[in-house]
Formats: sequence, C-alpha cells, structure tokens
Amino acid sequence: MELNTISLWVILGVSVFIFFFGFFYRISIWLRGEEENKDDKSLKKSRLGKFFRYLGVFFKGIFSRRFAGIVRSFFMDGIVHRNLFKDSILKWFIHIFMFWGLSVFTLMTILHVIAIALTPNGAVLDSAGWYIRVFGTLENNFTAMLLDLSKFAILGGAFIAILRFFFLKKKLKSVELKDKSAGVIISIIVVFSFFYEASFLAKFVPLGKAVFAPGGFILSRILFYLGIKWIFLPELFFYIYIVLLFLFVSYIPYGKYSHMVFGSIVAVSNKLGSEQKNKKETKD
Amino acid sequence: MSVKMSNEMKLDKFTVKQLAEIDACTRCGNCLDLCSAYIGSSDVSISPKKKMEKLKKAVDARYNIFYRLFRKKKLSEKDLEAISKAAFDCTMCSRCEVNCHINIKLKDMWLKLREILVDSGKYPEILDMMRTRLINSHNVSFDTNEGRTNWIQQIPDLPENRYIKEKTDVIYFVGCVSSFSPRVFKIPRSIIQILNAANVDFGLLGDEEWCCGFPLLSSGFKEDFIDFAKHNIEKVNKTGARYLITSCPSCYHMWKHTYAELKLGIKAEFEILHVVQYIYKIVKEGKLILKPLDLKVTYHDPCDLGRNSDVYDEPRNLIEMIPGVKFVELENNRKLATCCGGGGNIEAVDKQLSENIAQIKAREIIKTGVDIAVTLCQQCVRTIQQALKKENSKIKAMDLTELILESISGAQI
Repeated sequence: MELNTISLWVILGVSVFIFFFGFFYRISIWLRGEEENKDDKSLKKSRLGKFFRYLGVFFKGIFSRRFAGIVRSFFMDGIVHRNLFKDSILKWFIHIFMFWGLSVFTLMTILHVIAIALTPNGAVLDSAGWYIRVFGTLENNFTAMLLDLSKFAILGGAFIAILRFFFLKKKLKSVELKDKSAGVIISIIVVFSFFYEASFLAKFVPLGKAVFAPGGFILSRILFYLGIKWIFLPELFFYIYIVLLFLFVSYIPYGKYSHMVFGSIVAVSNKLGSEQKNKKETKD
Repeated sequence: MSVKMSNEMKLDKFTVKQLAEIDACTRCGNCLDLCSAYIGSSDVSISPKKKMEKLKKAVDARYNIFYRLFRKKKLSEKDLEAISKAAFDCTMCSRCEVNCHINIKLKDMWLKLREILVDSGKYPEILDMMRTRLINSHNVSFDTNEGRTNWIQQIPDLPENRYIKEKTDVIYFVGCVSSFSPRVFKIPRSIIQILNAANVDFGLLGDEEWCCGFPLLSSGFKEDFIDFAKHNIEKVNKTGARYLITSCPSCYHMWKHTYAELKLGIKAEFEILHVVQYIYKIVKEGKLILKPLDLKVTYHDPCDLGRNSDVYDEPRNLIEMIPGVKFVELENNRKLATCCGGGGNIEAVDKQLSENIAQIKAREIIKTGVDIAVTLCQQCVRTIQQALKKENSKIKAMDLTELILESISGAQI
C-alpha cells in the first residue's frame, strides 16, 4: 500500500500534540485548586511547583513499601474496574468491551500508522525490521487479530449498551447523550476500519492468510461478490479511519470524554488515599 | 428558596483532587438511586449526577479552552442559582458515594461547594440567621448559652455542681439539639442516669460547651467553624479527661475526624467515643446489668455515625445484649441506610423536602412491624418521631440510650 508518509507523520504529530496539549491543559486546570495542606507556608503555590510536588509524591509512592499496594490497586481499579464489576456485571461488560476495545484499537492503530510511515514505498519486505514486519501490514497475524478483536469488542459493547437502554426502566440511569454519541462515533470509525481491512485483504492478501482478521475477511468476500474495484479503496478507507480516530482521541481531554482518561487515574488515587487514611486512623 | 447572588464562583477553592474528580466523573447515574434528596423530591436537578454535570460546566466555562473559544464564557445567573439550590438541597448523608465506581469523595465535594458558594455570596439567606445566632450565642437555638444545662433539672439526686467539674475522667459533650430541644431532653437525661448507674466519674462543660461547629461547616462557613473547634478542644483538654463522649453523631464526627484533619494547631489529649461505644465498653466490663425487655426493635443508622464514622456493630451488639429484645434490620441498613431527612441543615432550607425524606424512612420502619425504632441521634429521633406520627403509626422512635436505661432500671415500656 503506497501512502504519503509525510501526511501520516503530520496527521499523527498534530493529533499527539493536540491530545497532550489538552491533557496537560486539563492538569493545569486542576493545579489551580488548593492543596490539602494549604496552610503549609513552605510549599510553593505556583502551578509548576504543585505539579512537581505531586510528581514527587507519585514517585515516592512507587519507590516505597506501598509499591505492591499501588500495583494491586492499579490492576483492580485501573484495569479490571472492580467497583463496576461488583455493582453490575452487565454494565461491566459494556464498559470493559468499549474501554479496552477502544484503548487497544487506538494503540494498535498508532503502531500501525507509525510502521507504515516508516516503510519505504509501503512495501513490507522480509528483510525489514521486526517492528515493521509486525505492525506494518495486516498480513501479520498478530496485528490483524488484535485490531479485529478490539473492533469486535467495541461493536459488541455498543450492541449490549443499546439493548440495555431499551430494557432499562429508568432511562435516567443510562449514560448521557454525549456518551451515547461517543459510542456512535467510535462505532462509525470501527466500521471504516473494517472497510479498510476488507479492501486491504481483498486487494493484497491471499485467502489463506486472511483467517486472522475474520471481520475484514468476511466483509471482503461480500464486497468482492458485489464486484467493487479495490484499486484506491484501501487508501481511502485508511485515511478516513485514522483521521476520524485521531480526531476523536485528541478531543478526549477537552470535554466530557475526559473521564475516559482521568476516571481510572482518579479511581486508583482515591482508593490508595482512603486505604492510607484508614491505616493512619487505625494507628492513631 | 431566596438566594444571595453576587460575583462569580471561586472555583480555585476546590482542591486539586476535587477538580480532578470533577473531570473524572463518568456521570453513570449510580448515585441517583442512593441520593436521599433526589428520592425525596424526584427532582433530578438536585441529584449528585446533575450537580457534577453543573460543576463540570462551571469549571469548563471558566477555564476550558474550547469553551473560551467557541462557547459562552460565563455561567448565567440561572445556572448559578441552580447550582446553589442543588448544593443546599442536600442532606450531606454521603450515601451517594457508597457506590461510586471511581471512589469520588462526594460529601467533601458538596461541603467545599457550599463553602465556595458562601464565599461568592450565593447561598440561602436563612443560613445567615443561623450563622449570626451561632456566633452570638454559640449554639443553634434561640437561647443564650447559659441555658445549656436547663435540661438537667429533672435528674434525680442532682449534685450541687450540676456535674460541672474542673477535673474529671469523662467529659460528656451534650450537643446543641439535646441541650435545647425539650422534645429530646430525655436523651441526655438517660445518659447521665446510665453513667451514674455505672459509677462513672463524668462531667459536663456547661455553658463552656460551644456548638461543635457542624452547622457552620456544613453550611459553608468554614472560617467561623475553626473558632468553635479550637474553643471546644481547649476546654476539654483543661479538664484532664481521658475520654470525651458525645451522644450526637455529628458532634462525634466533628470531634473524631474533622477536628483532627483540620490541623488546628491544638491537639485533643483524650480519646473520643460516641456514647454507644462507651456504654458498650462498660456493659462488657460488667458495670451495667441489662434486664429483659419484651420488645421487637429496629435500628436506624445515623449518617454521621454509620456511613461517615463506620460505627455499625456496637449499637447492634448492645441491642442484642438486652434479653428478650428481638432485633430486626431495616431494609436499607449500615452503609446503605437512608437519611432521616434531618441532615445538612435541610430542615432550614427546604422543610418540605426534609419531611418527604423522613416519610420514606418512616414507611421503611413501619414495614418491619417493630414496637420501637431506635437510633443514636437526637435529630433522627425528632424527625422520625414526627414522620411516624404523620403516618398514624404506633411505633415509638427513641434513642438507644433511652432503651438501655429502661433495661437497666428493669422497667417495661
């Protein structure tokens, strides 16, 4: 697949910049707040001062006896999201499918885009480095499968969410319109990605190899029988899919969707905070 | 609700952690079914979910680059009034945080929000009256603080010092409602009789006892609250007491947790217990003998004693130690206990809402088919009593200490 590598670097670079600008801008908003021990006059009040102090607290925590507790909490609250599991298994499934689906899908897309941008003329040769051979093409089983599974997870989560919404008596307990719209946007991106995959497989990959990307493979067969010509479609779908995905991801820190990034961070930090407070109170 | 309005909200008074929590809230709506104020009013605009949404909007309107570029930069007066109404139509029961997936400390958030609204002059005017009363007379009633021990008159064999001693082993911090509300005078009287029966060396602070400051703190007047906290700690330290006991859960929570967390520059040199913990201790030591009572009893967990202070077992153990008493749990108990409607100064701000919440509690009690509903809070006793009366129920609401007194004196209710 021949793509303009400069355009890929530009799209990726701009998206990463917008995302991290938003991320740190958000953090800079938090740092306007008071500190718990605000009466301590020795502490610097500037936002930068606070930022480095919190960074210090974080690393002090990591390199302390609390390390095991931090790892446990990171796993249980940041990855498994145990509170949600305890509350409702159905909601947990929807959430885990969408959250981890999107996370893996985004990460794999970034790695895929970088690998393609690094590939001269878009040709992945056997002599290329392992990174390009793994992530540079959908012919690689690992990349094809992970991309496909993550997309199925997203669509599955969205489907269960729709069913739940129709059966939910109290609609107020459903997620907000903004979150529903996020579900729709992500699903549209996933569909474009499937079309990219399908057209790619139809154009480049022999049948036997396509088995690791079942979604794209089935779609490619359907489109093949419809008699669609594949000459430019993989490139077109690829650009639509990555531009939409990167636009969506870079908007995350700026609006309601910021909980997708900050929810887990706050859950872990609050859990560790209350555990430490309980320990202190028991000691007192 | 008449609300004072002036300048913008000082959002930077939220802590760094709270501003992060506002961003992190997924607004999943888990808190909706738990919010006493929402259940009592069916008004979603005062629910925790909507409050978080409004706060996010307020923070975004002030700081978010997208809002500043493309949307309106300031919240309208209507938005601000809605935030104020939602903030003060809250019982501060903290039930909303029980099931939060990301462990947001919502009660702390609501307290800080009230503080910010007070700072910005956006709060119900009636709270000004309460503040003035507290600052002038150091209690929540309309009386002067000299009347703090008027309830003591009915105590049999009252000593000349009226239990006001310079040095003592245990200080009983009575609290404003018990001291000034005749309807619940029975509670401190029972406690004194129980302590006497167990030969405990105890004393009262008399008019040196000031309000614990909870009404000020929960209304957002944090600066005034600090003076009250300092005064009380100083006075109890002077008595050389080993224990401070309180019968009011809010006083207990203030003493046990809030005073300690605020770093006031003065340390409490005594152990802080709720009366129930102290009575449980002396019953276990064999200093009190509980006699049989043939009753079916349920127990309501006061928010500040249960959810906010984790005291769940002692009251249940004590009830079950009374021979003949059959204990029945309420449908919503322990961490999930519903509010009685008397918390968070809501009675002053929105009486109807307070009554609605109490009504829900009363119906839950009636379902159990008990003879008596006990609790450990004079405010809960008051609101539940009124609500049960409205429901034409014969169930009596009383403090657990009253039941203990009946048991040790062998009387039959």
